[in-house]
Amino acid sequence: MRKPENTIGTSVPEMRSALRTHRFGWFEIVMLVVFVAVYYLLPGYLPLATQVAIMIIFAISLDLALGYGGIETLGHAVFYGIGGYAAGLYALHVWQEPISGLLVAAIAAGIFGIVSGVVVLRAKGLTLVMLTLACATMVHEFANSMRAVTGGDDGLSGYRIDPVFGLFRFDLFGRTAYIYSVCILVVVFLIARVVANSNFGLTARGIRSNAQRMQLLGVPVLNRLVLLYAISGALAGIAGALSAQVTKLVGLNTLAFTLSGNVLIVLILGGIGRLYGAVIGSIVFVVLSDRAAAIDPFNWLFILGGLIVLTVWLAPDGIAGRFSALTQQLRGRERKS
Amino acid sequence: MEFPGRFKHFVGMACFAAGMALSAEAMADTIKVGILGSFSGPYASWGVQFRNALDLYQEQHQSKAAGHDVELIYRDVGGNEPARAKQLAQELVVRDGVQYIIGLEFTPTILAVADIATEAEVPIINLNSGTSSVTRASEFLTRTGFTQWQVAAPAGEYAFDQGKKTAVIVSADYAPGKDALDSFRYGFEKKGGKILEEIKVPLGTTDFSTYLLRIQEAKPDVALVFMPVGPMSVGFLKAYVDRGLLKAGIDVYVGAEVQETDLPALGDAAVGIHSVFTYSPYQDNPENTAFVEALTKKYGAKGLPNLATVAAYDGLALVYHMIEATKGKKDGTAAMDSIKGLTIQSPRGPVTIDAKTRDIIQNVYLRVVEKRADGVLYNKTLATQEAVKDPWKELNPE
Amino acid sequence: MPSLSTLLSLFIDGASYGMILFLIASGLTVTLGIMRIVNLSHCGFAMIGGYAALALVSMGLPLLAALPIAVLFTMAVGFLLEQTIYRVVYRTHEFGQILMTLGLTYLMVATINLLFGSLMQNIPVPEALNGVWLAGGLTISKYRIFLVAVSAGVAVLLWATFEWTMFGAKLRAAIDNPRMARASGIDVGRLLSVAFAAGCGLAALGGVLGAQMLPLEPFYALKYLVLVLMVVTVGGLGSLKGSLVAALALGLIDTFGRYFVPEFGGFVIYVTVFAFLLVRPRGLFQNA
Repeated sequence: MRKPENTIGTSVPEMRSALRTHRFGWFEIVMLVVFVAVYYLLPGYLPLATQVAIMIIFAISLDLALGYGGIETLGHAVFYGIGGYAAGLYALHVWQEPISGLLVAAIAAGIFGIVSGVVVLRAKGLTLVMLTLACATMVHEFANSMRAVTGGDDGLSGYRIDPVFGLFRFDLFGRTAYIYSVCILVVVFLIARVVANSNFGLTARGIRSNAQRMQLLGVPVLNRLVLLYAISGALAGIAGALSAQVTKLVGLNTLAFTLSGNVLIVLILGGIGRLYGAVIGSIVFVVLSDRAAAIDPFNWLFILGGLIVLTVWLAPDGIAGRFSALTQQLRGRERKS
Repeated sequence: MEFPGRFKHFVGMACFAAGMALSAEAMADTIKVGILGSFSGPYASWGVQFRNALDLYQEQHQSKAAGHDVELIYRDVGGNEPARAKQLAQELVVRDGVQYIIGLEFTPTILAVADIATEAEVPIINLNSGTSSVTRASEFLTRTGFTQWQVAAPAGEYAFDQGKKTAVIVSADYAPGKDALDSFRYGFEKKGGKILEEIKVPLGTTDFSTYLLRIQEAKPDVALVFMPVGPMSVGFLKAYVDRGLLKAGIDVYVGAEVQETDLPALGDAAVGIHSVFTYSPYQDNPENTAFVEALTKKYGAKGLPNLATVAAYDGLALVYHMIEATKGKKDGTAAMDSIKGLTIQSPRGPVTIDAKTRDIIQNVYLRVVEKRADGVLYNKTLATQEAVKDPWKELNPE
Repeated sequence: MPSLSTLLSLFIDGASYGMILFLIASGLTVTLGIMRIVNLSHCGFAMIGGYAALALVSMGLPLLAALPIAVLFTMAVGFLLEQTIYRVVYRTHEFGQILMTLGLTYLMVATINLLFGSLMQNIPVPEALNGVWLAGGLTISKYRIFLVAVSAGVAVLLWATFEWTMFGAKLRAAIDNPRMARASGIDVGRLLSVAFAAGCGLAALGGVLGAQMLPLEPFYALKYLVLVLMVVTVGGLGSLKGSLVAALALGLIDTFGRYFVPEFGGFVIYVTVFAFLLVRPRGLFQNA
């Protein structure tokens, strides 16, 4: 691959941030500390923390497609659901080993990403949004009608999951589930970073900023987008598979519009196109909805709706964006003084 | 221990702490009961009914059972979200140390928490999921709602007994709808009736004109209908009546679709619709009169109960019984044993927990919607089939 | 082979369903055409209209009297929101707009839930429109005929406004090229405000009249959003004619599909839309 093409179409600050993220920053360290601290300090909240970890993986996958490739999708749950069903069916019929289950799910979702990507990614804007939505709805309907395979509305259940590495049983306290999910999260985060900062990732950003120019420069735009979509899908599939293994049940809700909407909210809340926005958004969203639902479930939608409106109003680039803008301001001031 | 090396020490500590919490809970005077339900989202009406019943029961019993305080901990599942249901159940057991869990509306959410019931030996009372097989998912599961087979199979029989020889079955196209299809057919054919057609309606359908046209063209004596309660059930029945099918002499038999709480949405169109179900707030028995009176006194007109309310009320009654049987100690097996074969006088009539299957045995009523002189729509009981067991379990022994 | 009367029944059912979709979608396509804003709250205005009519009817007003009041009320709400929150929406980036209007929809859902409860509500149809006409083997719902007549009238009115009035000409110019329109002295902002409020009114009309087919409940605003978005996309952004054709086509395809291939029931419409958008990603009529 010729090197120079990657930089074209990418603005200078964007390049700088891309280069900078090659190193491990304070953010990764803080995150690791938080994850370890949660384990020891909040043992009663591990099931919740597991849900957060799964949501982060899902949001990261969406960030790759949306934030880096500019693929506007309102049907990302389709990968989550396919991953979940793949992992569930694999455990039910083939082997109960969890890690191979994740791989199977990733492959299944990835293949679906290639197939559907080739078809839908020719479109842009609202049409693309509608196509992804229609695509997810079709798979949802399909899973509902294939009752013999998926269990339909009753959900796919009745499978067991073996201990991780044959050693760590999924326990009642959710300890194994938590550590397992966090480890997978770390792996997914690293994969996403490598992809995002590779030549390929930079090409994707170029396509996002100006697809036409990239096309003229000889970049096979559709090819690249499909590949990115497939990788994003595979990671989303892993999130779905994790949920399937932890919950030991896959429901139709894993394919539903609500989930696609929620993950979008998470990502935009946190901040698009910077991976750790997905992390912050997931923590805020999942924890807040858990707390709000415990305190005042009836009016939870008020809080969520208000929060969304306020975030877009006051921090259009998401919480992470707001934060990095702040730190940049501070840095600027330091330099001046 | 499950974790090697550096984790080991901490895991040990965490286990110890959690164990302490659990055993302390058992000795203390407060017994916690987790309530899982949909208190927000499209299914929030379930949560409201659960809460009405549970709060009333607590009030009537001063929150005391066997000398212990009973505390209810509400958690919102917010709909059919199995992953969330499991997370909340886990936290209720591990963090809050609940001894019992009541609630849950959907088959997937119940199945997702079944594991926890088994592993933690926490009895879970399923208030609504009508899938027959769910009670088999764990030794610690029981039910105070109803099973789809329990009401739909008798509906098929009743329809035939009323002189209907041919039927069309209409059902929403999802798993509970499949149960309804099979059980309607089972009941109707057992008596010698003939099913002309099965019509499956996709979930989320709100325009039913084409399905009604197909019923009209099939010309059956009766339509046996199952729709999820809400927009689909109301929409279908309204369109059914509006299209003149009822007037044309095609009777319609349903189950939960015409509960009194949903009748206002149907309006006068509902008059003449038959249903086979297990509860009506206008049913005449002393327990029910007292129950409805207490609810309307506490909540006003909004307190009008439906089966969800009664199921929650009976569910907490079972929990109180289990607390008394175990004297407040955490012993899931003894608690479950104490309710096997137990009969309670529910507002819906006598209810028994089957000693073998842990499923509910209850009366099933044939009713028809009528309008009272004061304009209130209600279900008038026409016939009663006593102590109906779940037919599916009889047909599919373990 | 189904009889002629069956086909005719299906046609009327499908057409009336499609016309309701058109009423709700028409406002959305115009605002989308001018501002390129995906207003996910649009169905919320249909819901507000429906509930306003419900409140009025339950106070004892006849439906036909409640209808215009509900429509005006919704227009007022729409206008107010457009003057305030939407000003912020216009300024943010594309996905911010999606998110913000989604958040606004949540607020609408929560408000309706608080005021009217989560149960489904029913607006009773006036006696005169209740029931069916029987003609030969044909049963036709009176209400459906009424629906088709009213919405066809509205469509003609819209078309006339669009084609023959100064306002319509300005609107067309703004949809065609907002910048150009602005440059030639058209106050696009004001135009948009008016179009937005009118669109909300149309949605409210659809919400009230269509309550028999798209029943009122707090999640109405989210539930039928996809359907309406499909109409707008298939029709082409900014094209009223496109929306009309698309809505009718989708209504008919859905109705006929459910009758002739019941095993694919809910599928048909999504497959059709999916296939169509692949062939014509810009929809039926879009010049931009």
